[in-house]
Amino acid sequence: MEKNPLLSVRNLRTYFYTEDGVVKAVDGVDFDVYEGETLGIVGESGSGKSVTSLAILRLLDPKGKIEEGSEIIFNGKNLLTLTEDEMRRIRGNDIAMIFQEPMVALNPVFTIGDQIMEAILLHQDVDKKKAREMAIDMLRKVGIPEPEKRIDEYPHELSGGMRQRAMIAMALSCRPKLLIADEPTTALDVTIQAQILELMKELQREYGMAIILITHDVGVIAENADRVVVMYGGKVMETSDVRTTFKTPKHPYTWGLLNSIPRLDIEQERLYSIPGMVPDPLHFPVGCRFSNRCEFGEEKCSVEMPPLVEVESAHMVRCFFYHKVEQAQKLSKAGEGA
Amino acid sequence: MTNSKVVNQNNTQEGKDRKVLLRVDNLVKYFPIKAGVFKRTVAWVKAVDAVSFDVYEGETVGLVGESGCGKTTVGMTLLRLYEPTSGRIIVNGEDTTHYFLSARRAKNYVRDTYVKRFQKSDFKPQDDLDKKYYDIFKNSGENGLLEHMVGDLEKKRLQFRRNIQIVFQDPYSSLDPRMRVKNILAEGPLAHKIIKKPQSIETVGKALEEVGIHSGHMYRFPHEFSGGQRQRVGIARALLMNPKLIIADEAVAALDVSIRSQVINLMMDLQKEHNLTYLFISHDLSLIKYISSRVVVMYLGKLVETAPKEELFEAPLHPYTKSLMSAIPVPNPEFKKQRIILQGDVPSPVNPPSGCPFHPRCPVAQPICSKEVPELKEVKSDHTVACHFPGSL
Repeated sequence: MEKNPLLSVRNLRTYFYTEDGVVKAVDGVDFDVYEGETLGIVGESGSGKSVTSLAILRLLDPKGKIEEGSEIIFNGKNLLTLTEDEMRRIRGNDIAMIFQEPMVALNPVFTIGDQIMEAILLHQDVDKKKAREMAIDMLRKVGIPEPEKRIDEYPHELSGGMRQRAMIAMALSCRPKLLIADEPTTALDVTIQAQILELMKELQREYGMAIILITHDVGVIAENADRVVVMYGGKVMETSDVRTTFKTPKHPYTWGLLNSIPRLDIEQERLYSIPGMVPDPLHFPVGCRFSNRCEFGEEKCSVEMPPLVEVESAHMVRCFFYHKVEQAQKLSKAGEGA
Repeated sequence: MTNSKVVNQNNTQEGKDRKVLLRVDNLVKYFPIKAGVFKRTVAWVKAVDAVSFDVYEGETVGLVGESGCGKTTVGMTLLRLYEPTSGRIIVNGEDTTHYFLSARRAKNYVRDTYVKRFQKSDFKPQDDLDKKYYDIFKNSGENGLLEHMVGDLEKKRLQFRRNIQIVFQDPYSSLDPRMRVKNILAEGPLAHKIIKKPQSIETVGKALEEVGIHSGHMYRFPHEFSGGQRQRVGIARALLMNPKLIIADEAVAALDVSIRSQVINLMMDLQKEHNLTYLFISHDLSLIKYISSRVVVMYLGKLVETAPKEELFEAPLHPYTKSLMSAIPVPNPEFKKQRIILQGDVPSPVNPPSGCPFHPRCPVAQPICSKEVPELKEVKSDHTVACHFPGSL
């Protein structure tokens, strides 16, 4: 079982120094990604999931700083100690990324062919003709019909689903070891979402790359990830393999989240609501970040930040009172059965 | 017309114990595409094409479909934010289709739709509404019917606006950023003379408390609220008009997951308290399953299937409904479901495919599907589907 992780994030802290104060968007995040697996990162807006992915590629805007003591080890190298030149060789080549809104992420004044070829020419020792062939090949792989024709089209000529396919083609053109997909299907219709997720799975099987799948949709995580990291307020709240977290959530936030969404697989009398609102990252509560919305919390929670502890093998939870969630889960399961 | 007849007959039988609050009859909305110097109409976007359904008092109807299927246009046309191209919108047993036309055009509408048919010797009433208007026509002639339907149009319009309210998707752009919440909320009731100015603070305060916002916040501006709170303000605004029907157009889609269930639960509580009827427009089938009692599925401007919720989710008959269900990610890794991955994109409503609009993507399409438009048929009681081969997927 002892494999070396492809990517290890250790104590990642990313702060934004704004005029209103320091925004601790990501505050001490640890996780590993192994070769060929899909790690799902789930969280709401402001949970720090997107900032984490941008930090891995060092693509934060100038206000954001990765703090001292953070480590991002990829293939044995700490990405945070590389020069900008070395980093550029990794981006797009070893680690690629796809974004939520392909219309914004693609350059509107270049054809999609130009944009895919740019990545190939930059990272691989081939001439333009060969690069074009490779680009056409890639477009065919991601299921774009008539790739010879489509390669010379501009992003606005493609539909949303096709644009996302073109982005995937671009990201995978250099056969990355790690693909970071930040809400890749959020802007798409469900039937198109199913197509894109299926495509990503197929390509993963073929290329053996690892995927970090970032989304707010727990359903997408359940169907596509091997392991899951639940983030809230810039912290990892719970992490385990997908089955464990969805079957026996141990953090009050995960539990609340799973019970507050309408579901197709079970009958629901009334949805659970997590009280309060998503916290403002400028003013996180003292102690546990979830303490002001938690129904299981006690006094201790608003004083002290609970540590991330391993409660079962490979199941980590950041909560003092996770056994209360266990009981609540048992009760609701019993209710379902009755 | 044939489509609507089938549906209406069914509903008049069914509706004996339940009151139809809203009947949408063969609603059509085409948008012109204009081009050139003279802005000639070169083509039409067939956003809504012959859609018929009923909404009964006190129930929640879920209108579901993907982007571009015309679900929002249906909502906007019902509210008469768009004028329908054709079809009828019947609210509370009165035809309201002509309410927002000029008096002359409204009269023409009544003449074309009713009087001309009534004057024929072999006229037979097709539904309750025909009967009602025919009685008026028999007793007091054309002028009497015109007086009933077109007289005092301004009053009818106000009444219509009070009866039907909308909650929009985006709580950021549907509240005027330069108005205080108190004024946003009081504007409608004051204009409709439901309340008088001195009462407005009390009324607004009550409405805010009802949707879970502290009444002291009424002097704030919209930007001072979070997304969930803004959506609550939007709901309060609709409630203050004492509406019968609220159209909720993707009302929770823009909210965070943990906030979404708060707003959904609030809307369901308010429904019970005020005996509201909802037309819930959404792309999210899981949400529709939770909130609605009946479901209407649309694809490319056409109605493809309508059924009571339990029936639809247990035994969907249209291949599109079934594929849509299978595409919804379920947050349960152990849940086994049939995976149907549809090929291709939704076609453009400017040039919809011939025959059944779904046939290019349909896994079980036959040659006939590309030639003939399937009629909306009642397959089981209260379950209608527009497919040549229902239940074959």
